[in-house]
Amino acid sequence: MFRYIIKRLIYMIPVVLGISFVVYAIISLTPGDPAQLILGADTDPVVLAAKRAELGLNDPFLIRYLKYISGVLVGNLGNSYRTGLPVLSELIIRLPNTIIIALGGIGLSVAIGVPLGLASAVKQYTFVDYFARTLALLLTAIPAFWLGLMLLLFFVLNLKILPATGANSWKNFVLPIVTLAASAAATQTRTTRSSMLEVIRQDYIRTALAKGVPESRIIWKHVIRNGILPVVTIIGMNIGVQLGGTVVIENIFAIPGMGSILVNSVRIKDTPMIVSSIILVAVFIGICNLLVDIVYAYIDPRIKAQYFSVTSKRGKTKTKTGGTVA
Amino acid sequence: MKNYLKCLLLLSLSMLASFMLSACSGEKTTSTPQESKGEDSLIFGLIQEPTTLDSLTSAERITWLPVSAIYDTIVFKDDDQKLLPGLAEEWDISDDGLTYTFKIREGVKFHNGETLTADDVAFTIEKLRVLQKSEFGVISSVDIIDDTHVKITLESAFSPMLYLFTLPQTGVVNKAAYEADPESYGRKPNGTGPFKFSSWLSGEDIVLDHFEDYWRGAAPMTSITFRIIADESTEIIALEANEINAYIQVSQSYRQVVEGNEQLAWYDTPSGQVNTLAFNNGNYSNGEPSIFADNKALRQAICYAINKDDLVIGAVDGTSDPLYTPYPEFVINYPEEFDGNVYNPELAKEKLAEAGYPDGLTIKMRTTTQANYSKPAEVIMGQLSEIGITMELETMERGTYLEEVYNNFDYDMTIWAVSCDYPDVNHGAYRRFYSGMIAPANNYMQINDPALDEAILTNRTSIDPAEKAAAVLRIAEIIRDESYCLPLYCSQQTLATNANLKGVNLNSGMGIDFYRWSW
Repeated sequence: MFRYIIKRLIYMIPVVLGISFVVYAIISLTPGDPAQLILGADTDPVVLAAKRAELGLNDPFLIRYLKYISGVLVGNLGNSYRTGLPVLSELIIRLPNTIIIALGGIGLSVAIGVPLGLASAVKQYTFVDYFARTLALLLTAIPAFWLGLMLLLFFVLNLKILPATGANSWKNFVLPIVTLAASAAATQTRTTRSSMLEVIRQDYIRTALAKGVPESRIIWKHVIRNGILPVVTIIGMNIGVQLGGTVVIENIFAIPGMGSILVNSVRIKDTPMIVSSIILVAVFIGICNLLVDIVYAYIDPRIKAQYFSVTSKRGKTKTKTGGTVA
Repeated sequence: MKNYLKCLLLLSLSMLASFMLSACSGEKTTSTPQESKGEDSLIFGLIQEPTTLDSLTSAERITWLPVSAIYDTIVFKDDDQKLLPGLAEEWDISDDGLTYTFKIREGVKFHNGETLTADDVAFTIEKLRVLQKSEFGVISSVDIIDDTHVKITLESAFSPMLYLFTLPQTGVVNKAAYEADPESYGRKPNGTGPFKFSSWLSGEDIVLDHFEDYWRGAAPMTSITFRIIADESTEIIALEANEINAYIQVSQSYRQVVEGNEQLAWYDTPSGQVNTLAFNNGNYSNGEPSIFADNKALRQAICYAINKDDLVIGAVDGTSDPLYTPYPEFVINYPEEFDGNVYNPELAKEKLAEAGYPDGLTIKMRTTTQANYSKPAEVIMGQLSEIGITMELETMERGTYLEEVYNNFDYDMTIWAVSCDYPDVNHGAYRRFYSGMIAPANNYMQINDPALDEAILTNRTSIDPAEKAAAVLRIAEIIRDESYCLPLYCSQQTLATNANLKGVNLNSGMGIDFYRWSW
């Protein structure tokens, strides 16, 4: 297992390098002058030329990329074009905020979505089922920014129990996490429900029922353990989506996180900041996916066996990076 | 299915009810206590983070807000745009208008404790000559006469000179600190203004504390926090919840919300920004001429096809009046009885035929995605279709727009603003209409007209008031007759604040005198 983890981590490196190259290329080769975007459209040309020289923008693209990436490999993420300060120090402050919102959003969506989906599957065609499906439909349809603003209006202006902006206390994170969790919970509910339903229809469940096994034991021991695998897959996929969703959330709630700085940096073409943020996000998603794959091993012994046989020469059963086991 | 529908209805109704409640409920009379450094502090919401707090290199308008609190300028101006002594107690202008001698106030302290001397003022002006050449290049030399006197010599008479020294981007810096480390001056500024820099948490807050040793006496406000909130709806909610106390450049769509709330106050004033329909009067970057180059009739056709009364309703909900001069109404020598081109669709069609397009044509307009440029574009598209011109609107991302249109002149028509931040037409006219300024980010319309150049130079250098007034009128007449561009309207500068704030002031060009604000 340990070897498997190391192998996965090593595989992440070329992926991240490839991402960084593509992003750096896109930013550098598209029109738009960072110096003019940062200092202002009407800045004096002398000042602009000096800034361009200062930022090293007159070097050819490959040279700039190589300089940047050689810095990254020793842990130096470069200096932001906008502030001149090290990118790493800025991102270190902002990363926790985004992670809190993203993980909080996923956690809340699982805490709501999975039980609701399960109840919906077990008690199919009852009120609980209809309620869950309707709620899922509504939450999928409602866009995040609208929900966020409505929650802001209600909890900040009407009930006055939560602050609108900032990131100093836990209260600031309640609404962002709820907003993010809303649509994710909808997906979780539906996936859980359909996966559990499939398991419930299996013959071995019917056998257990016929044998007289109590229903709660059936649900806990058989239905959940067998049905949870697709749900875990969806959670893993959702992490990437949630991180994207935090951009909108951070803008609405004025939380200084990676999403907002990424969007602002793209607007002014602050290349070191953009590429470094994306590298961090890619690494984070890679690690999350790795964790999800490890969780598979603990749920499904068949998969655990596959991981342990990674070092053996059994052709097709070798796991590849990021892919689920066939 | 019946159950399903029942549930859907129930849930939707309950959600709708709760949201309607929140939207329509009346205002509470007590506001939440201010979460800040005490009752006398101000929290100002900014939609964008400033890039620097160094006055000399600050070119973005939003940066001028904290900059005007941190620095003092050599000359001040009051709410009616009259000049007042600033860091210069008095000044003397030679008869030929070429020499200005300033007497610098004594006993003024910088935030770092040093005393202001003529050295700092001279250093600042020298830097301005280099860093803001398009405006200050007219100064040929700066001399220090003694500890309290600075003399500047101009290459030609320049009547708006003193106005230039009132702009926030001319705030006086400390020579020693600036020379020691110019790069970090922008993150750790040092000025003589009423507020000194305290901290800058990137992406969140810029905090300024009031300067106890300020030469006019400490400001009533003990601190100002500039909070960055990127979304406009959140700014308004934060304003209503008293989490921020003021917010500038509010969209007109929020006017009713602010005016309807008795805890908030709405201020507006004409900004110096004239939204203008610009034609490319020269060549593209590849050397080919644009369709408007040398085709006056086509330009005139388009100008006659625009109904400005409808345009201001469509673009800014009627909150500005149509403008017929290429400069705002607050400039000196504004020609009161000017006859601009009025809407005349028959004449437009005639001119179109004269231009060689009797059956109409397709023209492309390129703008940024900003609403104050793309909305008028949409109205114009409709108006031009009525005379047979099909307009294709291409909205571009700002970086691409600046590079292709603003720098490289690869466009036929666009909408941009001609700014006039002080009450003299020179600011907009020289930069945007003078042939010598055809360069990236300056005279992007590539206007090259000797008579217009002469009028601009006369206004700029003449010290005879009658001559100046005639020149100002000439500028408007030539732009109207040749139709190099079409001024549309002067946009409004808007500010929403907590109603309890006193001494609130606002003038064109993002100038705010925070010294006068108090609770």
